[in-house]
Amino acid sequence: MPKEHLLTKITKEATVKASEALLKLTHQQARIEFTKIEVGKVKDVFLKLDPESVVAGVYLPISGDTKGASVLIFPEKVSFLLCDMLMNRKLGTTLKLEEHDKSALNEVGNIILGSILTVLSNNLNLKMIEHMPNFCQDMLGAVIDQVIVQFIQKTEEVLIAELVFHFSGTEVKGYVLLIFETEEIKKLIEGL
Amino acid sequence: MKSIEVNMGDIAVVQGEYYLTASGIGSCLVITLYDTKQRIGALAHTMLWAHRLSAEAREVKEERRKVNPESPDTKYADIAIEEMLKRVLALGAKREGLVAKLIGGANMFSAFVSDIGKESVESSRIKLKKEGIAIVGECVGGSQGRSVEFSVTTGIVTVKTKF
Repeated sequence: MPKEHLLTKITKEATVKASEALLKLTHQQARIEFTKIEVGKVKDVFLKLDPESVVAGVYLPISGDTKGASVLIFPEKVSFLLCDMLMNRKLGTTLKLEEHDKSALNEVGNIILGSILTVLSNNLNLKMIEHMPNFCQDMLGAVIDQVIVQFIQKTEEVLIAELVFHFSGTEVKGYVLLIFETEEIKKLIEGL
Repeated sequence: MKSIEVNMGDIAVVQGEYYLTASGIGSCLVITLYDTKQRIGALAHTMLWAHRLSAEAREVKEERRKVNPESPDTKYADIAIEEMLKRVLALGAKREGLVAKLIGGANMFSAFVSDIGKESVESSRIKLKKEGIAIVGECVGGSQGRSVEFSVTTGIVTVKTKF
């Protein structure tokens, strides 16, 4: 299959899978759309979002045929709206994340990251084992630098996926970063 | 006054009326050097310590350095300290007048077994002591992100957090 068609296929499948999973969790008409998946440099991430902007991040380590990390990032505003949805509150209620909010977001992150990893795994025929998700809320640069540092000696390339959350007439953007050790990212790029 | 943003893995060395900044620091370690009399300042935005390199990676690094000795890999804190020292002294700073500050080295996700930030902080303290440079300020560790603004005019380092 030509590379660009495979990428489109992965994008669409990830969208369907993540939306289905989110619907099961929230019981609300929410949709996630993966709008773009591309290979970029680590520093490219900071072209898309200000490193000082506050984000919620969910980090999911990966092992199996590939070793790496996946991180879901959404702007703080998105995290508040998501919490409102998850907790059946009126949109705009959440202004600060409490512990139960963070747990819920951690679970959402686990679902979304798990969805995209499953789709990648199936399409690229690579076994990917996900581990426990971890939540962090802070400046974007701070949230992702520790993840990047684990792999920076072996690769400076990452897969960056842009996604849009659609719910209650609102659309907000988030990002998924996928970082793998050098041989693995080559396989992924070749696969894509 | 001009402001220079120092990105991950980079260093900047200036004299005069400048701000050197580094935004959104998590486990990364920012190291500043300052000559109070000459108003020469340097800021390094480092990521880890070079001794973490495997033997194979060290070989690759050494080969690259031979090909391009002008381009030291300043994402490693020990190399960044050496490079900052070389460049501030070249600008006219006096070694005995240099002071250092350390900012960052947080552990943002508890899932990480190895605390790279803490390791960078401890190793940098040892390295600076060996170089005879006093550390006059630290804002390190914890699990909070930080942004740094270093005024080379006054020597003041301001650290901001979001929470």
